[in-house]
Amino acid sequence: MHWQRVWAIVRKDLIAVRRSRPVLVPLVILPMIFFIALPVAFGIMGRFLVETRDTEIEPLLRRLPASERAQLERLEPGQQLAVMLISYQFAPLMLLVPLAVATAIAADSLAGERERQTLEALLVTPIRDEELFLGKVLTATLPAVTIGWFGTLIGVFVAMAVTSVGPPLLPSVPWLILALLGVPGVAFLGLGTVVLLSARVRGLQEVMQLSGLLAMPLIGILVAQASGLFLIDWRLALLGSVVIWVAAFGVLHAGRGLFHREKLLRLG
Amino acid sequence: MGIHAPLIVIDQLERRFGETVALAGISFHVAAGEIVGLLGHNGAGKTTTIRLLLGLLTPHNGTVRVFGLDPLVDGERIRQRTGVVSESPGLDERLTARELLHVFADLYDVPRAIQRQRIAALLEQFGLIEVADRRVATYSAGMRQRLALARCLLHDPELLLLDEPTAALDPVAAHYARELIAERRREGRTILLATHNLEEAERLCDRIVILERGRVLVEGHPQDLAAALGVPARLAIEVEPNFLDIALDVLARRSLTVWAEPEPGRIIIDRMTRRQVPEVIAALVAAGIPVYSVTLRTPSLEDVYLALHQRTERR
Repeated sequence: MHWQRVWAIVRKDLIAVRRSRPVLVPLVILPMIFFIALPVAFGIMGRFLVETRDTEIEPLLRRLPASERAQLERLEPGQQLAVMLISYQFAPLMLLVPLAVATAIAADSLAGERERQTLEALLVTPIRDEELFLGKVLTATLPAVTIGWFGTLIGVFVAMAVTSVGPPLLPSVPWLILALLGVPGVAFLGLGTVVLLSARVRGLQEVMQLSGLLAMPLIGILVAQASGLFLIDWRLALLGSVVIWVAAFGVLHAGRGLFHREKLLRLG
Repeated sequence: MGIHAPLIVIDQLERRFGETVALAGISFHVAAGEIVGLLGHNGAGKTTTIRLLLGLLTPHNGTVRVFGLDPLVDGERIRQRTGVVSESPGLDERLTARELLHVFADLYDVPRAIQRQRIAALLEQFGLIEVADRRVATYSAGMRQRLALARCLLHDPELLLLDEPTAALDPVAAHYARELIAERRREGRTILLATHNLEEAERLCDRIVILERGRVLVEGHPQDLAAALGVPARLAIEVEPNFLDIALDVLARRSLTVWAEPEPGRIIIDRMTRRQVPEVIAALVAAGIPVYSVTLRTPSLEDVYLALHQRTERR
């Protein structure tokens, strides 16, 4: 493995992303919404909606494990609502950020490379298929995981500041599991999906739109939790993360199989 | 630098894309230090040949050797010693020329210690040093092609594969690009130049390989090709305009294919050989016709190409 070649791909693609407004803007706005605006909104909501306990919180509290419920019951009703929303109900939504970052960068780096007719210039260099693949993987996943983890950290501090609640309720255990395992998992899943889509769909926009469908399961979880079907606990968070990793491994493995010069050239 | 052993050997090479036959068993070679033109219409198989040489495509039959290596097995080693320019320069417009060259220097394993110096030298040589830190998006087509040429020389390759390097350029930029290619030739590099520009091929190449529908129609030096294919030369004679009719009569009596050009006193004799020239001029002078100029126009590559094309069309 020639790391100089791998990092050259990463450097090239990240410089290009940095200078591409259509790719960069969502990468800045999404983390601000999910890691700053949402915790602030929920914290403020908790402070002002203090009369919600019986009608809104009670059914949710009943779904929590006994130890967590006991801790939560010691809080003010407004704090309870904020913690329930941040640490449990909307926790899976934080995965949208690394997913969106990884798919946006991967789409630009793979389908975009083809659309701009810059792929062949890479294929005629000595770079090996596996080096090019790794370069593309790192290009998409490094920023996605960095933004995901760094954003999570900021989100934790923001949430703690607005709710005046700390560990172990904020961040909760399922929240931490999703942050540590889920964030890199969805980044790889998003990338792998884009690799597969790029092999079948020609346009950058099409790849972006189709990869957006990956967000649907996360929205589904949010709706299911809001309708009282279940509430994410550490077991579900762990299981969900494992499922994400298995899916990510599957699509990446399939994507690697498509990542050969001749196949890439045929698509180009 | 002299011409040495073959650097590229292609033997009975075949490649299909579905039902379409891109190459139907072509064979030719390129010697070290030689510049060979690969000529043909769009779809003749030029780009496919170059991609097979680089190991980007798998042949369906036949063999390819570059530096004595099989591109499918040693593609990486071949690409390390080869510079490539495609019809589309393939430059990411969001990068500056300097950034782009640094990226490709890494991809071509150019040691970091010499990258800065080599890149600056290439930017200078290709007239891009002033705009090196501007994004490629702001470059003209000519500047982009010069950058693509500079990029293909980053690793000081022995072999250059140039696929329609001037196709997208205006006449001035194309002229400049041809000068750059000619310079590379003087440096002793081996060049395979795929083009459909006959003038370019004639001017730059030692040998020509003409492809049509995936087959080698003919191979050789442009002049040899003309002779081998029996493509005739033309003789242009300028006589005193008042003697034009007499001159035409004298020449017609010698069973020559003759016609008068629109310019006064100018005669064209088709299908001439070099040996016929003195006797034709002697006949005109003997008839008292003042002859002002005589030019034997040897067949151009275009004449050869057109003749070949007409033959294949007739088939």
